[in-house]
Amino acid sequence: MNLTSIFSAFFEYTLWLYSIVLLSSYLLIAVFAILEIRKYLRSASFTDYSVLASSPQAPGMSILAPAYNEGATIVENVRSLLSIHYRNLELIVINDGSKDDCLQKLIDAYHLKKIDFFVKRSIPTKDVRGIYKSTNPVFHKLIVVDKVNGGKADALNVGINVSSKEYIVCIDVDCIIEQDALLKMAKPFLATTGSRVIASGGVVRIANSCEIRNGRLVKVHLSDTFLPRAQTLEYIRAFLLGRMAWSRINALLLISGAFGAFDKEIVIACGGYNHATVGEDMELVVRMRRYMEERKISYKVTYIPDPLCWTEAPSSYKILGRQRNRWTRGTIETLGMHKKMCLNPSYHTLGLLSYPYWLLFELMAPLVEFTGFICMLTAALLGYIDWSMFFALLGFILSFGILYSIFAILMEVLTYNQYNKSSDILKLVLTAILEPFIFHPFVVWSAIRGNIDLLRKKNSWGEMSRQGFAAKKTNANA
Amino acid sequence: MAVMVGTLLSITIFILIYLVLKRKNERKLNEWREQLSGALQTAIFFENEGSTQATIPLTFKTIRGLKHPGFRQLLIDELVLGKKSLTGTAASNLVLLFNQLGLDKLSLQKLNSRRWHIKARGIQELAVMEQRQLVTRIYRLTNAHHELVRMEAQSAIVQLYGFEGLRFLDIIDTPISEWQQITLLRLLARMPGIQSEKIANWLSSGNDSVRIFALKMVAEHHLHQLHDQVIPCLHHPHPPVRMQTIRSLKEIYTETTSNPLIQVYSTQTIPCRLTILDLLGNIGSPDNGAFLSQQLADREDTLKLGAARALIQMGDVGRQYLDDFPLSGEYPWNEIFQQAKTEQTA
Repeated sequence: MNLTSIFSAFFEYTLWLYSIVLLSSYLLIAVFAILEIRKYLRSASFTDYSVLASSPQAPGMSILAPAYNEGATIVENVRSLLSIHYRNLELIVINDGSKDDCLQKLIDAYHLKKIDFFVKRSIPTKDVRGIYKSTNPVFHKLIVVDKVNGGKADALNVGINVSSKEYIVCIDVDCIIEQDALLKMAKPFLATTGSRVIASGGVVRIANSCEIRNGRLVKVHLSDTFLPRAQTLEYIRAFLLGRMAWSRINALLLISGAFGAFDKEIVIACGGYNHATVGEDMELVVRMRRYMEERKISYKVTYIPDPLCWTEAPSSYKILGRQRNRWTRGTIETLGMHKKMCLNPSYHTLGLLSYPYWLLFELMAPLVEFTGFICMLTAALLGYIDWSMFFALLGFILSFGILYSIFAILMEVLTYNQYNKSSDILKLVLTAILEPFIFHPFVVWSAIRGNIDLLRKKNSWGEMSRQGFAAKKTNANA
Repeated sequence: MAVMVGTLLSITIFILIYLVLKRKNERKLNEWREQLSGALQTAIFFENEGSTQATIPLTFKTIRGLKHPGFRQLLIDELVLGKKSLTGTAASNLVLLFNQLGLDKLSLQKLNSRRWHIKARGIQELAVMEQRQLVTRIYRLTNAHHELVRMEAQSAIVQLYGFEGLRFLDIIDTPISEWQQITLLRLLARMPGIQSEKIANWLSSGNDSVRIFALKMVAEHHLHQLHDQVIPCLHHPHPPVRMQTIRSLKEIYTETTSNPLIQVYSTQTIPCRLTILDLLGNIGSPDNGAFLSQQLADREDTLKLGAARALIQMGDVGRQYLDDFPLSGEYPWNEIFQQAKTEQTA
């Protein structure tokens, strides 16, 4: 046996092992997701959320909404957030040094006045220029912070410093949050005994093409264009299957930056959001978990499958590419910062399961796929490919991927059934069939570019211009 | 490969058929709902003159519909919903209809189920429909292994027997979640008969969550007579109990409350200290001025602000303490004092 054949065999068997473990993990995720969603739905059918809505015992929640150059939509967005049903609530909008008229629009619309306010420095941040509150008692829940630009993580940290409640809910200001979202998010913090719930995530859904009126989602529609539709399917898969499954075994590493609730005391103890990464949402959850593990405090990170938050997905390849590039860099940076936990038994599930899974199957999957593709091309050019075997394997892997997506659609239909028209379901199935040929390769390529950009030390956030719900509504009316 | 494609097609067809059936089922449910609204209206406005033996007249269509399990369950759901939102004769009539149609037996079957969500549903239905004859069976479940069954049984007992139903607090060895405490407090808010002697016993319970719940009842019902029994809870080893003690004292404080609070202050966590400062502010006694003034020098800015707020609440005497504080012109005291003063005038 020569060196080439040894190398070839090693390569082949490693790839086989990798693929088998990956596919098995998908099957396990599907099973765990079914069990967790079933448990949640059964339990939720007994829950009367109005109990919390009217109770003076409801824990305090501060919504933190960073805004940067959101002048076009900020007034509507804040109005929508102010209409959320929750008794013990404050809404903190952080103007992160916007260059547009975002702050002025808020001042005019909500009769804001600069107040004397001592900002604690629990977490170090860039300077705060002023704190504003409304002179109109109707808007007494609103606090607007004007600060020097420092990025999303810095803005959220300022929000944490200013907040006065026990829990913080970090959101993207342009998201549409369901009216009862906080009642549902508060429940895991109150209903869990024996362990401290340090964070809770909510499902984020795609709002492109949905009907939005007065900052509220009134009708769900599946997007007419392919890219948002592919992301709709991707989000259903990720949130309804992936995160629910990880949540079942208390091994969740990521809560979306668009909508997540945190125990403020632990966030501050951990030092708040990290400026040094573009994946600050994932990094915070990993650090909070690490903090609890190192102190041997029993804890949980929970997830709610109800569609509570709706966001606009990128509808152009350019913006989508930037987003995925950033997500990849964020994941690499986060895993790099916490590499001490990898396969470290002191960190239990976190170190022995979550971290290695993310490293092997979230971070490395695009690299393995890309390398595999290059090797396949080379082998094809050199005539080393057994084509019948190749097509059999390709067919299997494509069918598996499509089947997994269709299973996610089935779960959606059996649970929340947001897209209840048969035509919408058929469109989703068609998207699932097309996704491996169009959407997936692009996402893999964006991840490869994320790796390259990280090596070249490019750490920009990447501009994420959006069409905006209001703009789309106007177009639709035109 | 062929298996995969076959499965794929099968799931897709299943989804489409499921959607069609679901729509059909929804139409059927709506039809039934319309049919039932007539029966429920007849029951609500039925004049039975206090008799439990009276029979509410029903249409043939409704009686025929009862053969269908889906119809029966919908009727139970509608009765439970109606009973929750009605009182007086109308509510009693719904119970009468529930018993008349033998729906209590269906709920009892659920109570006997080994599956937790069915058992819990049975408890909920039986409690709302006032099936007191089953109280012993439900009471046994107040310490059940499954949390949801336990919670539903506890709520059911309180719904049926009000404050008396809380006797399960004497025996439970599992924690009562904060969510469940909120639910129980809401149920109790509508019921008379709070017994302070019982609450006093629970204030020394070995189960921390029972102790916290008792403290919440003290606050909710302003049980001033339990002030002296609440004070020892300030020395409890667990911070959540101490925190609730301070919060409850806020609702029942007297002129003697300040001293024990000041005595334990230095041994508390920061959130507890902050709540103590807030309470001392509410008490507003000038005697606490010197203590509060000392806290202005604390390393923790939150506590400085808490102490300043408390002094401001004291009036002119407190303001004088702020003005006399040697570092009042320096950062961060200048900003903290300014905020406290502005808040007071706002």
